[in-house]
Amino acid sequence: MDENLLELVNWSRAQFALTAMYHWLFVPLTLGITFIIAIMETIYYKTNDEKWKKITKFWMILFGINFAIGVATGIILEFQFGTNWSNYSWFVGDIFGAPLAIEGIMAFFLESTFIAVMFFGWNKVSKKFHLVSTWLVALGSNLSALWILVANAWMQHPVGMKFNTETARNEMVDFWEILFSPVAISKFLHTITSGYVLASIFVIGVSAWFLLKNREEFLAKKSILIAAIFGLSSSLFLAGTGDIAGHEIAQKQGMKLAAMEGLYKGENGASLVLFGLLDGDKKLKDENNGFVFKIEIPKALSFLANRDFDSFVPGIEDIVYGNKEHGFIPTSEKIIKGKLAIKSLKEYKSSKKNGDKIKEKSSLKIFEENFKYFGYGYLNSPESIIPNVPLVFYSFHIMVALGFYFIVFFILVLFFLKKDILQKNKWILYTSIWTVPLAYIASETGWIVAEVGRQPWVIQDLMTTSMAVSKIDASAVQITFFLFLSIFTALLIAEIKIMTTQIKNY
Amino acid sequence: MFETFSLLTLQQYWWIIISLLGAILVFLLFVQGGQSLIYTLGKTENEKTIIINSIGRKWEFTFTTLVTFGGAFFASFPLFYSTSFGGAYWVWMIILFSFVLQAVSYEFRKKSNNFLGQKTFEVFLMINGFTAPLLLGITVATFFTGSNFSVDEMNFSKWENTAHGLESVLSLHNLSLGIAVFSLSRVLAILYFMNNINNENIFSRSKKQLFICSSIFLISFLSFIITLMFVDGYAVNPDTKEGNANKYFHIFIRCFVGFVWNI
Repeated sequence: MDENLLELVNWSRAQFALTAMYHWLFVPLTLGITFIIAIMETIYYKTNDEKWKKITKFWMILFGINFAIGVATGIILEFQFGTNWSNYSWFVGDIFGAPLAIEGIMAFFLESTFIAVMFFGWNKVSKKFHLVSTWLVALGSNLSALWILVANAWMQHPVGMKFNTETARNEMVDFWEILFSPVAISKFLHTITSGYVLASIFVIGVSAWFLLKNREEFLAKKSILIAAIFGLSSSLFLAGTGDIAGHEIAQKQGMKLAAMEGLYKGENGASLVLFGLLDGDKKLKDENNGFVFKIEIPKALSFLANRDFDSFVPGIEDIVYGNKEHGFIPTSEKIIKGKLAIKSLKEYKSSKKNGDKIKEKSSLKIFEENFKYFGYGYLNSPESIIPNVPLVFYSFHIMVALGFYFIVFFILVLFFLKKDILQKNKWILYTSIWTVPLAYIASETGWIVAEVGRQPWVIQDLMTTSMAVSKIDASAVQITFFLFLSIFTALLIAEIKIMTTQIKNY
Repeated sequence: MFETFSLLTLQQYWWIIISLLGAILVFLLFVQGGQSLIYTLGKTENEKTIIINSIGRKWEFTFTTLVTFGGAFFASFPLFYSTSFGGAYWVWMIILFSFVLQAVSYEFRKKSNNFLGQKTFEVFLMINGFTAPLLLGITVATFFTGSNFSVDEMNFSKWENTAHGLESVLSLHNLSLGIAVFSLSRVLAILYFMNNINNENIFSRSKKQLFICSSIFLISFLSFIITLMFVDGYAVNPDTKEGNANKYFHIFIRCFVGFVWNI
């Protein structure tokens, strides 16, 4: 890849990562807190107790502040597909664009309409209608998340489409196959439940602060009760969906799994690394196992990958250099096939234009035989299919460790709440507050695993990141990167200040 | 159901959806028009707040329509979407930046300890109020006036101009539609305020502004349309790739004659 293109790709990736990570600071709270608010309002509806209305309204204020900035950061993401990844937009527009359009319509009809009722309709509509609106906001925000996650899952595992040789792009042939792809389902469930866990921790953290200050005891304890139950059930479900997601990755994105586990040489009965420190001196094909030290669960990786404790899990080297015994083709061969696919597509087009029927037919045949490796034709070397291993490995392990910590945390909080000794044990209240940033870290690292882990692919095996990028000046992207950075950081500071002030002055 | 549609039917079907969304978006730009008038119509703190609260509950509709409009264009006309957005990079980025600023401003403006201060968030609303309708109008005008780009055999586009869309702002023809959309958004906002706000001062200032904005709209819109009737159109002719003299004039006449004929 020439240097200019590399610089452009890196800045474009940095910009997308920046905007996506900022966006993801706000979305998970929206996804989860809307359900928590809906549960609280349901209790108010059932009991008619004004104290519950007060609790509902308090969390609604914080939701409103968070929602506005979530919307602001979201618009950039949608349009960035066009501005910074225009070749990608053309290549897959009708597959990726359709869920995106549906997301917009969902957001329009459900979120916008019912959010207005939720905030301004307390004394204007009936209690029942208000409650329904609150539930619809929760449902709407989660449904709009469904579509963008379906679109993302399609990039990780493209299904339900056919390459159109006339237009040189992918076209949708089966909408339902895209929607119900196992990768889409596991991604959706895993992602939204991570939002529920984060929101539960947020509610517990804020409530713990009230208890530390000896204020709003009723609000705090009732909020903790609901959030801890909601959070515990969500985090158990999250662990389950994480296992399914891991299995799907093993089946469809072997390289990503190998990077997540720092596995260089494949093995039968592979162990899952519990804790580990990577060796920075590790080179491909040397005898070093890639770790300074590690603690493992024997055979667990094989079970995660193939539901069989003794099965073979390929390592990075098996995928790059091939492994005949286990049926892995070397990447160098895939690159040759990919280049052949690109060449035959060009020949097909030119022979069609010239009316050479025989050549047209033969080049189409060669193209169809090699299309599976189309994207490989744009790679320069077999090693370029390896993502950033340390970033993916550490992100994955931080996410998993925190995920299990959250389960213990929710159980502890529930235990202390039931015994009514929360205020006597200040450490659990402080822990609750400090768990809030940890929830955000877990959430962000999850996306790093998903997105950095699939590099260099934008669409697995079909389109590389460098192929997808808009051909603009890297300097233009640099400027917009820093503009986004400064605007989003200023808005984040404003949001945190407003939110903490709202809590303090409540 | 859709699998049986011909390409032409699909294109027409999508075009209806896009047109509808575009029309709704232009209609909802009254929110932006209103934002640009905060200081013109509101002279006291109270009047300003009345105006902002009046349009404050409507901003999500404009915003989500824009998102849906973008998604629908992405899905239905991906070659256009990738070429325009990837090429006219700067224009789209400025539009988007202004919407980012808008989205938080209504919520954050009056909140205590909001870091940037009430005035800054009002300026953010003004920025969005001026730039969004103006640049959206200019961008739509480029669909008629054309842009300098090329596509390769994979249909990957490349903008040949280093200004990446900013050059379109310098064209008077493009600018006239931008001003037309901007002043139209103001007209819509004024009419909305006159019906929605019960305040004599705001009403009388609105009335005065209505005349100014309507006049600017009329002049700029007519100058765009009249100029359009006399320019060459760019029809896709794979054989000659030549411009089509007075294309828009011919289309207009055909539509007009067809309409009269049907009556």
